[in-house]
Amino acid sequence: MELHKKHTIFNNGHRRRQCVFYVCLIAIPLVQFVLMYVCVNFRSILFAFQKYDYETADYAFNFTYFAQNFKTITSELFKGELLGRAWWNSIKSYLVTLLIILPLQVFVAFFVYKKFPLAGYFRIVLYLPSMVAGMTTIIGFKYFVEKGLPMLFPNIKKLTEFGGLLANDSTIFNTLLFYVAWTSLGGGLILMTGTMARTDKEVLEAAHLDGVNLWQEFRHVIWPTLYPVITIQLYTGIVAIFTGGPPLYQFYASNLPNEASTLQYYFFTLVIGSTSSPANYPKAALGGILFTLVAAPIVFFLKWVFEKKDPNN
Amino acid sequence: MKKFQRLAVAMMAILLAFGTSACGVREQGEEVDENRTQVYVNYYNGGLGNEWLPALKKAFEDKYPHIQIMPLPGKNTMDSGTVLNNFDTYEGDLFFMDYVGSEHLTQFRTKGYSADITKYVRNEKLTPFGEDKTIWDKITPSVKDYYDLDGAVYSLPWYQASYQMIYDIELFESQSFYVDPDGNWNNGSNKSLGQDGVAGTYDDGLPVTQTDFFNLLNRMVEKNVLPLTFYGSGAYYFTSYLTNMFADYEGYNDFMLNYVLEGQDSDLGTVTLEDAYRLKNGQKGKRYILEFAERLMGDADYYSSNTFQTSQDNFTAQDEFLLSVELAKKSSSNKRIAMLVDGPWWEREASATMNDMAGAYKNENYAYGKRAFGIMPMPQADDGSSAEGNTIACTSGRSVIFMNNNSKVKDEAGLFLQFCHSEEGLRIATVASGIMRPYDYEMQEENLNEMTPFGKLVYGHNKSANVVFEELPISKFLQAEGSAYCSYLFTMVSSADTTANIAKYFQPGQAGHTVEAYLAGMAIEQTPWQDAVEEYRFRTEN
Amino acid sequence: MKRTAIAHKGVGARIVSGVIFAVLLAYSLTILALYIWVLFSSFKTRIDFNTNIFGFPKTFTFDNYKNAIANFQVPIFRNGRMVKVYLEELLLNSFLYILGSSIAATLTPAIVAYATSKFDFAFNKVLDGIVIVTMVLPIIGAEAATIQMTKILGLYDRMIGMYFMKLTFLGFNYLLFKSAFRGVDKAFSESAYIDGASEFRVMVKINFPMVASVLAIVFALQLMGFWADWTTPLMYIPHKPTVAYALYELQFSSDPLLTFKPLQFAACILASLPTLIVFIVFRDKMMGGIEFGGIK
Repeated sequence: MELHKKHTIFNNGHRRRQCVFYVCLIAIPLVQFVLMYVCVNFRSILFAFQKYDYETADYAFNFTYFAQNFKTITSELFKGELLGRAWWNSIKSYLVTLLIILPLQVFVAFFVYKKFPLAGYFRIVLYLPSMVAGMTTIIGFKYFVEKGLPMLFPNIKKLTEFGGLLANDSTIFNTLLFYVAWTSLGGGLILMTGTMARTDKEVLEAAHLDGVNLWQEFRHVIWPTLYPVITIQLYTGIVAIFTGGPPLYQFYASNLPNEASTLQYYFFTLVIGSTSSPANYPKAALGGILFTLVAAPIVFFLKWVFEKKDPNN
Repeated sequence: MKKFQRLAVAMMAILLAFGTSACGVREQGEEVDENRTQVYVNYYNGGLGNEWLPALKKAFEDKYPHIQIMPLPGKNTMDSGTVLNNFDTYEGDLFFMDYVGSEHLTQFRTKGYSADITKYVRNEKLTPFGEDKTIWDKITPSVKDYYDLDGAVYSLPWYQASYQMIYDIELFESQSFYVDPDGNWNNGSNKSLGQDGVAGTYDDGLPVTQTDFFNLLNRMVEKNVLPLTFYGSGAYYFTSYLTNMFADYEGYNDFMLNYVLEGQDSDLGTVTLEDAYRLKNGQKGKRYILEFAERLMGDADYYSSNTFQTSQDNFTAQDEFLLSVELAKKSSSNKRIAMLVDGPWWEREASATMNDMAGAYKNENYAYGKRAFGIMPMPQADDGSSAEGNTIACTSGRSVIFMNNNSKVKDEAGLFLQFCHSEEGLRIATVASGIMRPYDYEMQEENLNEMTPFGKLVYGHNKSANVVFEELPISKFLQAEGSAYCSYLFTMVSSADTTANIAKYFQPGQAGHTVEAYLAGMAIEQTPWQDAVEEYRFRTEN
Repeated sequence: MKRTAIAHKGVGARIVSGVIFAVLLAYSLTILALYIWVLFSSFKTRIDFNTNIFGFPKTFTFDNYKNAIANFQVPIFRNGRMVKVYLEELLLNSFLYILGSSIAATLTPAIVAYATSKFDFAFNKVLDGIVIVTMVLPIIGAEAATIQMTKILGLYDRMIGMYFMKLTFLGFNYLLFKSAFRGVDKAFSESAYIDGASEFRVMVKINFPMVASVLAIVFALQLMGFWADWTTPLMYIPHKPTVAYALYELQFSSDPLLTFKPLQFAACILASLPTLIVFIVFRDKMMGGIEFGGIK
């Protein structure tokens, strides 16, 4: 009885050629990764074991500093009042993106893809916020919310209380979430309509011949094509709890009221802006590592789950 | 559609061709003169404008034609972190920087970027410029210790600016918002002596006490005038104004204790480093300014409804203040605005608006340099507990000048540095920018005549007062283990509002927003402070 | 004959479609209103804008555009002196930056994704892991080290250096391409192998054309992203400033002539024109994709 020999690069010419080709493909990107990511960011990892020395104005290395930095950042993350709000805002922002913005983006993209009336107009207008310089949209939004809305609805006191929706502590964050939703519904247009357009035309024609309605067409024909694109955003988007949120710095710079803070803003202002300090780098870096240790397994797990549930399989 | 697409592609091609035709043929900077020695000056091009350095350059080169001063302006590129990270890409022999924290300043020194300039600052007198003093002799006393590194000097303070309440003189005159010596409202023809009791000074006819101040505000409201506007969504403006008021209340010595951390305080008695944490909310001046803010912000009739909107930045607030004179003419629902809270550079920043107004409304009196503005004195406590005299707290304590340690022309750069700090140089810079310098110097009449009326007023106001600087960590503890206690707006930060936007905190209708709550939130915890002091002592005394 | 989705429906479906259309139209009008306001405001004088925020311009002026173009400049140090880089050179730098960077940033993840999806090597898992971990690892304070590395490699302040920095396979696009390549039927490649095609030929002539729409989409998105990116050129090619950086400088200028909104709006509109034109011209390609199918 002959045993089936496993083809390796040592005993199979085809496999060897594949290996050479494979290495050629990944060589340069890998070198770039080692040089521009690993070497560069190793410094950031080192921060977790360092403490700022005011005498030398440099960072001193010692393994014991890891524990000190760990204690500092965990107490700030889990005890400070500010951080309590930041956690909730960050989670709220992620949930809004996941449960409201993403479904609406898919909905809008489907609408445009199906060439509903004025689809050409919608393609351009809804994508405008992604094309025009961000500062313009932010300034325009501020004027509309603070001056335009009170003109249109003079009897609604909430619109002018404490300086308006963007200044009132109780309404700032929700208003910013609205801004994100309002400007990003068309943001997925290129990617999603382009992906939907890759749906097999023959399959579509067959479905129409079978008399499917819009929902059935979406559910059984479009969704499988869209699935990989959506799920990638879903499982990589979990990190947005720690690193995402509304464009707070563009709206407020260092003047953001505590009520609207997020984890991302908090860590950003530790190292950038008027409230930053080089002494904050170690705890900020360690905070980033802790986030990764929490988020990475979740991302891998979700990736595995979504790949298992892939309707294309 | 195809035609349109072809047209669009053609347009893009034209744009690309336009781009590829770039030959740098437009206006170029000053040519390097091979026969002269170049001194390059990197400087922050912000509120001071960019006229002051060319003015200094011209005057200096007239004296020293063999030296060519090359200004290198920058704004975003002159952030201290950016300069620190990319220092080898900066060509400047001298650096004028707007905000350098003490940690960065120390890094500039320890990394060997900033040169030891003791020779030019302390050892050599300004004899080439006809003076018998050194630069060091002239530095404002309140900042000297910060720049003294055991006798060595690596940097110098750059400029001096404080936040004030600026008022419209024409409005005060037309609406009789001044008071006469008997305390009656007056159009300025017969003004009271004001706080300083001296005639002919900036405070004539203006409120002395807090009660006087609010009486004025109430009169404004009665006359359908809006007392105040400012950039309210940013904490810095009004909180810096309150810090100025705090300094005026406490006086020079007690204010300086917040940054020196050892000495005698009129409220707390003897203060040592170990218990200096008490200063933060223990000095009565803090309560004083919080009560003032509570009273002012608690009445929405006292300030513009645009004040706290995020669309209102400092430029918009200036425009609102300036344009109110014309808008009020159009409709009675538009009110004239009497005062603005801003820094001394506001007039230069708003110069384009003023000139546009002069053109649009055909009124030369609206133009920059023509329209008259005054400075409202800090209201004194009604019970007389305010310190004697005036103390002005400047926000510019972290603006610095230093020399590049890699400079090949240190002597020439040092000479220019000395010129900048001679009487002549300081006058030229003050005239050109309208901003004072933290040095002892006198403006001559001919210099003052070149300034705007407001600029002259700022000079006179600064000269009449003791000048201190906020956020300047004079104590070595605050530069090191205690640096968190001297960070951005820290003196005014409270757990009740960590952004220190005190004006916004006291807007009416916010439950629990009281002076007591804010003051309590300002307290520094004893244990972390003393732990930090212990670390500092261990490091410095062993 | 062009058939729209509505043609398929019954009454109920048409009502639902009508409501959806109305809501979407109202939403789009709010966006359009904002940008129309920005456009109108860009033609206002300073006084007009401050006294008539939402009205039509009382004094229609092109001065803001003229001043924006005249002041669209970045001062840099070159050849021993300060020079101002104006629009023509800014445009050239921008085009060089975005074209080269977009090509690099599009092809690199595509190539690596092709490698990991078409070839069965254990190292694929490592590459996948690297992509995922780097997407979730927020990096603090890497700017100084990155600048140092580019100087060591001789890439600092050189356009080729920017291209090298974009030769990265990290990020969302790698996962997108990987998913796209997985969707390409192996039968195409196999028939090409049978015909004697090399690996390179199969990659370039068979697989890449199959995902051309994804390549086009990613390339277009990269183009737009790099056009608006001002921080990277500022930090790594400071002597080759781009339009985006000039716009950023303009918005934060302290020059009294430049500190009002209408002029800043004019500058933003000018800076956004290229992306707008590219999008309008190529939107069908970007959003329409190409035919999928071909095994016959």
